[in-house]
Amino acid sequence: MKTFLKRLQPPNRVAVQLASVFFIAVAAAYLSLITTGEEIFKYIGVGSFIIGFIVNSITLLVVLLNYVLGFVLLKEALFTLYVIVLSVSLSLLLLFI
Amino acid sequence: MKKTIIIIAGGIVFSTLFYAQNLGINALLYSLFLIVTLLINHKKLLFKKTIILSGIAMLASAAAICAHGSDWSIFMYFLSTFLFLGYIASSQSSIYVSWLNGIYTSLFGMFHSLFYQLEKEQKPDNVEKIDIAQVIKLVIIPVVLIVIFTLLYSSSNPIFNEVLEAIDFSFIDIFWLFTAAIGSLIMANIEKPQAIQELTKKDQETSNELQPKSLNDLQLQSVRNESQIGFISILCLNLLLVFVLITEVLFLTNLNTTQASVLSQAVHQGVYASIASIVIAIGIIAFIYRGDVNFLKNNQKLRALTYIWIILNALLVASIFTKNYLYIDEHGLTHKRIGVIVYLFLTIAGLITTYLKVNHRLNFVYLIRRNLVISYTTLAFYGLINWSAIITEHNIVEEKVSRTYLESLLPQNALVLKKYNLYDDYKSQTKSSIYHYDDYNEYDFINRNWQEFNWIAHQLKASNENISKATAAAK
Repeated sequence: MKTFLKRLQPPNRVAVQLASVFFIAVAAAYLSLITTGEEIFKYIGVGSFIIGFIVNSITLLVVLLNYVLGFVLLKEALFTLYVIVLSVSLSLLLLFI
Repeated sequence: MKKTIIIIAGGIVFSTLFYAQNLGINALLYSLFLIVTLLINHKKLLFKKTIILSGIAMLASAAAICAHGSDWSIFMYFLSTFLFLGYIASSQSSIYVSWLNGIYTSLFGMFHSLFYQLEKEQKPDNVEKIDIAQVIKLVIIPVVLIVIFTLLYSSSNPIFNEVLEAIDFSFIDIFWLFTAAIGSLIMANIEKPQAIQELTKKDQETSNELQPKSLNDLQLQSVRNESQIGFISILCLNLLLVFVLITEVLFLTNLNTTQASVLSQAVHQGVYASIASIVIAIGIIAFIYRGDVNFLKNNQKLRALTYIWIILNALLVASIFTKNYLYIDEHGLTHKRIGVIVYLFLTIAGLITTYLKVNHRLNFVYLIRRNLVISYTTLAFYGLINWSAIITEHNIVEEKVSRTYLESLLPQNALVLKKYNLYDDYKSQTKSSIYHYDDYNEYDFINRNWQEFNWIAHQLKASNENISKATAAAK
């Protein structure tokens, strides 16, 4: 996976890494909430999601623009967009559970 | 072409079955659809033992969702589906690798060729820069023109206007289409399941047997020292466990029914601590026998002590089972108490596999592989049974009814409550504020679409209709 990430173009690599980090943050907050029951993890989870949503939206636009301008291959752009959308929707799902 | 048809069909079937629906018979139908589509692509693979068994587990848990829809059956359905997909990706893998492969293929299956550079996507040397302004003009200008002229023609031509007004797009549901797109995406990922190559290769190369190594004198001495520490440690732990077992026997023989609070404390605090001690014991044995100690020539005494410790731990399981049984006998069944029995069964299985590991010089991976298979199989069978109904029936017959608890088990125990004429009283759930669960709403539960078919809901609806008819006939 590390080799694959190195093959991605820098903006796409950063976008995939950011999407993964924000999903892991929300998932960790969710797991901490269900194991400890502490309210603080709920706020950390929601906060991480809001920040992640904003950052992911910006990276999504950057990736789209890169593709439209012809700097990135179709499958690479599709993969990056897919990871961003998946990260946001799975985080949202965790928040609703 | 075949791939495209499967992906589109996958989207339509997914949306038809799951859009705005609860889980019911739709899970079973989707599983059948999955098996048929994968059968088209992998005719030979589907007849492998692991694939057949995981496919049966997936269908069985889907049938359990349709029959009673407990949370366990839903959890096991997802677990079995990932396992089935993982085994199609690589049928010879261990169970945990198959789960990871199943999740990987469900999420990233269509990007597999990108990850492993299976197809070269060459960027043309002279990439023409796309003129975005031109693209926008190409799309927007014709659309604006069409809208303006359509409005003009519709006001000037009444027949054209009538035709326009007759066109009704209300049947198009955007959210239905969105669900279908998700279904197509899932199907695109799983129509040709793929494995994480590095992980699968490493797993298939790892055997269950330990391999003897040639040791120099220094290493041999170190292994002997390790064996000595293991011997003394297990000897001490054996003596301690014998003492604990004697006190357990004394506790159980001196117990009478008036000591309910003592028994409750022994079960609630003691059971989990005892189970944890057994799991740690298995871990210690696995650690001591992790390598060269297995091949020492004079380690019969250590082995004998280890077997004794395994037997003593099995006796500890028996004592916990007795306490749990007494507690059930005194206070009735609950999910937690059944859970303890399942834990104990798995612990016994763990002790047996540990014995096999020591006896046949097997490695730690063997323990993980076998115990995960046993745990998954046990939980798959556990998820098939409607335990809420069994608990309710048992507690009513044994006259150990806790109304708050039985109310919290609705709707899975609805038919049993109906049998004992308690349903109409219990369905309002007036007493169950201490349990966290979704409120039971009879109207929502029994008025389901065909996709959400559930046997309990069906029976309840039929029963209610019969009562309504009888009341109408009496009038």
